[in-house]
Amino acid sequence: MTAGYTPAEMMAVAIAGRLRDGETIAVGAVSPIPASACLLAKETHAPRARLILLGSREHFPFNGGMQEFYNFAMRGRIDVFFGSGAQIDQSGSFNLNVIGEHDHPRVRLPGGRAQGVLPFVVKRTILFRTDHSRRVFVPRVDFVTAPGSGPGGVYRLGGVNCVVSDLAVLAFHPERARLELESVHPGVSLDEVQERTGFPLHALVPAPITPPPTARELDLLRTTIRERLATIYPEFVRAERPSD
Amino acid sequence: MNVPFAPVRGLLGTDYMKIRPDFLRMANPYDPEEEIALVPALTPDVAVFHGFRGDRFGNVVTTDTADAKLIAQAARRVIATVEEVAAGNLAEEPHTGVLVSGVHVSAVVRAPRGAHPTSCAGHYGDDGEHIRAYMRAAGSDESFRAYLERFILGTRDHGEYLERAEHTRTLTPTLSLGEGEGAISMPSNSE
Repeated sequence: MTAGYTPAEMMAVAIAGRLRDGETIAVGAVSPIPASACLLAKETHAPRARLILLGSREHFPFNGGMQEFYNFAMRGRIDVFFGSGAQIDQSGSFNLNVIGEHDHPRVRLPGGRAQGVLPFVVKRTILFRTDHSRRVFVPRVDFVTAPGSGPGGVYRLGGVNCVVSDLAVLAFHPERARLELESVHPGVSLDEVQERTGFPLHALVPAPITPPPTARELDLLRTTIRERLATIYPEFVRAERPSD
Repeated sequence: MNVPFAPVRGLLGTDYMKIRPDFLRMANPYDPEEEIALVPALTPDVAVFHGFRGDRFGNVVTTDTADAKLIAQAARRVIATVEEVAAGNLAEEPHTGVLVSGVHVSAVVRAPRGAHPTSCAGHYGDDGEHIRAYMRAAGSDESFRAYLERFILGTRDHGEYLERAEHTRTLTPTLSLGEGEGAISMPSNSE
């Protein structure tokens, strides 16, 4: 690979750049890239961030199970949480439930569990996808597991903040209530991202480029962060071998 | 708590409100400006969880990262499987994890490796190969029936299940990860 880093490393660095010092940042299940991003941010610009990583012994400050975690989240104590969607649409809504009709689905997915509630009570929800395609980025999701934003009169502390994919960063614009292209990753063209997105990107031309990983960031990701990630996501770490 | 429903912040604007006619919305009686969702109480007939140790009083010590204590207080009957049965009274001993009091528990069953193919902290990790085999089997009704026959319906007991699972593990050391919806698959670097 000519870039010298993997798509997962580019995504981790792009996500880390959106995390701030002093924030409380939580990562749920099956989220190795957000977990690396959090550990990277804490090693670099956010040493006072409080991390809550599901599956980690070091970074899980509760002994009352997921009930205590959810109670903490419902109180508005979490600044950033992560999610993904089998489908994501321009309104920032995402779908973890079904592809097709709900009662006769083509694919039944694991379901929302946390995401029917957390995007309402967490200040910023960052979505991630490792396979940017029209199958994922659709004009309209088949099932709204979580809406990107919502009307007044309903308790809401935040919403979807952005989507980081293997090709680009789409940021949620609060006034226009839609996802718009913020930057393309180095080596990716705007045309390619638009071709693989099922809704208009409303990008600046020329599109800004996501800052690539620095040598220090790559070194951290491949040493201390890799070791700590292996205690939570051994399978991911085995599959992701940038030094081979 | 035995309350019939709970108010929930969230859910409004999601399609859960369409597929669950028993999820309701109302004005918050203490703040009419706010609309809030209501969900009915869940009372499971039976809760089942796996613990590290249990005793003859029904006390069970299990992981503090899951919600055993919550489901044990919600269900009508509670069955705990455990890695080992302790001789004494766990409520009187120091422990690592969470103690679910015997007042909540209907039955304790000794079942070493009872969490397989998932992990039991301090005892064993995930059996990733078995989970991948399960994921592939779940891809069609036919292969799933074959899985059930081989590992569940066609076995005498949990011991035989574990023997077959161990046999599978040694026969198929490298199974590839199924490309399911939402499965995380990362291209590896080829520089």
